[in-house]
Amino acid sequence: MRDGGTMLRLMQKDLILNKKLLLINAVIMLATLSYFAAGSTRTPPQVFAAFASLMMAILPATLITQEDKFKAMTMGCSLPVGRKAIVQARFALAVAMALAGLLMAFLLGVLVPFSNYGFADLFAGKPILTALTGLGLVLSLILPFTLRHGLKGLLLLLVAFQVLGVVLITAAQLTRSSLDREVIEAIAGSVTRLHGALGPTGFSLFMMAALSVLLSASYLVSVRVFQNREF
Amino acid sequence: MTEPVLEITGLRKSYGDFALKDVSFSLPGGFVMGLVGPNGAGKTTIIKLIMNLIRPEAGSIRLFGLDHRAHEAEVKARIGWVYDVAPFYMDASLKDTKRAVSIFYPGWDESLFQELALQFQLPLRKKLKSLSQGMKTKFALALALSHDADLLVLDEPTTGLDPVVRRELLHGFSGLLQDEGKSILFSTHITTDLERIADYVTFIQDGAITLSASREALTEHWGVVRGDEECLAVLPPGSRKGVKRHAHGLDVLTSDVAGARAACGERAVVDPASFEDIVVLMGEGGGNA
Repeated sequence: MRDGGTMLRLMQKDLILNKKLLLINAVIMLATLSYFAAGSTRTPPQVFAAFASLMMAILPATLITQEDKFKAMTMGCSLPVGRKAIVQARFALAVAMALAGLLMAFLLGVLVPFSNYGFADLFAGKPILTALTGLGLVLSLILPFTLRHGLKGLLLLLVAFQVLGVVLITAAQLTRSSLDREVIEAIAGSVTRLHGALGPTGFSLFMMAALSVLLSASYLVSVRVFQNREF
Repeated sequence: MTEPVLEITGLRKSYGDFALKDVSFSLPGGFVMGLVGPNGAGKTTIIKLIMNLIRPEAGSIRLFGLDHRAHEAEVKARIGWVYDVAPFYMDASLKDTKRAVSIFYPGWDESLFQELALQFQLPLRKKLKSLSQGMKTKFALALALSHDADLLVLDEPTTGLDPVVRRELLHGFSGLLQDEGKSILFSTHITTDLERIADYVTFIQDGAITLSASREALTEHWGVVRGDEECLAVLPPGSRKGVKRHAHGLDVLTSDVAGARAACGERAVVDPASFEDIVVLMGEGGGNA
C-alpha cells in the first residue's frame, strides 16, 4: 500500500467514525461565528479572522476526544499502517478540516443576514493572513501534545499557557514593572517593524514561510513522540 | 515442521513491579498456539508487543520472517486481531466501523464478513455501545476473519461468549486451519478451549515462560502423580514441576510419566495431565517439589 493511499485511508477512517460529532461541532462553531459577524458591534475583520481561526483549529480536537474516550488509538495502531503514516494523516486532516472550516466561516461571515462584513472585508490580505497565522500557530502547538498524550496533552498545553500568564503577571507585580505588557508590546513591535521592513507582500511571504517551518518542525516532533507512545 | 510465522526471542518489558523476563517461543505456520497463564502473567503484554502497541526493552519479534517494527504495515496486513477490550468507537455503528477497517485490507472479503455477521447475528446498523461484551467480541472476530489473514492474534477471544457460540467459534478455528493453513496465537485462561484446538501450548507465569511445548509432547510425557510424600521423594527431581498437597496426599506434576510410573510403582496413580492440571500445578510451584 503506497504512503499517499495509506494517509487517505486513515483520513477516511477518521471521517467515517467521527462524522456525526464533527458535523455537530462544525455547525455549533459556524453558528457562533455567524452570530459574531452579525452582532451589534462591528469588530475589525482581523479580529473576526483570529477568532474564526482559533475555533477552527480546535475542531480537529474532536477526533482526539473520541479516541481518548474509547481508547481507539489502539485500533488505529493495529491496522496495517506505520506510526509515521498516522501522524501524516492526522496533520493532513487537521489542516484540511481547519481550512475548510475557515472558508465556511468567512463565507458565512459575509452571507449571514445583517452581517457587518462585506466580501472585500474578510476576503482580503490582512484577515486571511491573520487567520492562517492563527491556524498555523495553534495546530503546530496542539498536534504534538495531543498525539503524544491525547486529550490530556491539550489540557496540559492550556494549563501551561495559563501558568505562563500567571507567572508573567506575578513577576510584573513583584518587580513593580509592566513586564506582561512589555512582552506583548515587544512581540507586536517586532511584527510591525518586520512588516515595515519587508512591505505587505514580503511580510505575507515571510509569514507563510515561517508558518511552514513551524508546521514542519511540529510534524517532525510529532513523528518522534508518537513513535514512542504506548497503548 | 513448517517455517515459523512468529518467532519471539529474549523479549523484555517492565512496568513498575511487573516484568516480562526473556520471553522466547515460536509458532510454526498452520498451527494453533495457546498462550495460557493467570491474570497479570503477561499474556496481554506479549500480544501488545507483537502488535507494536508497546515497545520492548530488549529482544526481537519476527512475523513471517520479517522484523515486526521495520515491516510494520506489511506484517500487520497479514494479521487478524481481537483484543480483550474492543478498541472501537463505541458511538459508531458496526457498519461504519467495518467500513473504516475494511479499507485497509486488500484481501477484504465482504461476502465472508456478511456471512459471519449473519452467523453471529450482528446488528450492523446498531452502535457498538449497545452491544454486550460477547457481541463486541463476535464483531471483532468477524473483522479479524474477513481479510484473509495468515495469522490470528487473539487476546482472550472467548471471554464473554456463551458456551454454544464459544464451541462454534473454536470449531470454526479448526476449520480455518484445516482448509487454509492459517496460524493462531490464542491467549486464554479457559484451558478447556485449548484442549479443543491448541497444537502448541505456552505457559506463562509472573512474566516468564514456564513451558512451551506441543500438545503431543505434553500428552506423551506430562502427567499428574497422585500419591504421598514417599512417592514424591523417589520421583526424579528434574521431572517434578509442581506439587499440591491436600488432605488425602499430594498431586505432583511431572514431565516424565514413564519415569514416575517406574519410580512410584503401586504407591501412586499416574494420570495424563490436562492443560488445567498444568496451569494449576505449575502455579503451585516446582521449587518446593
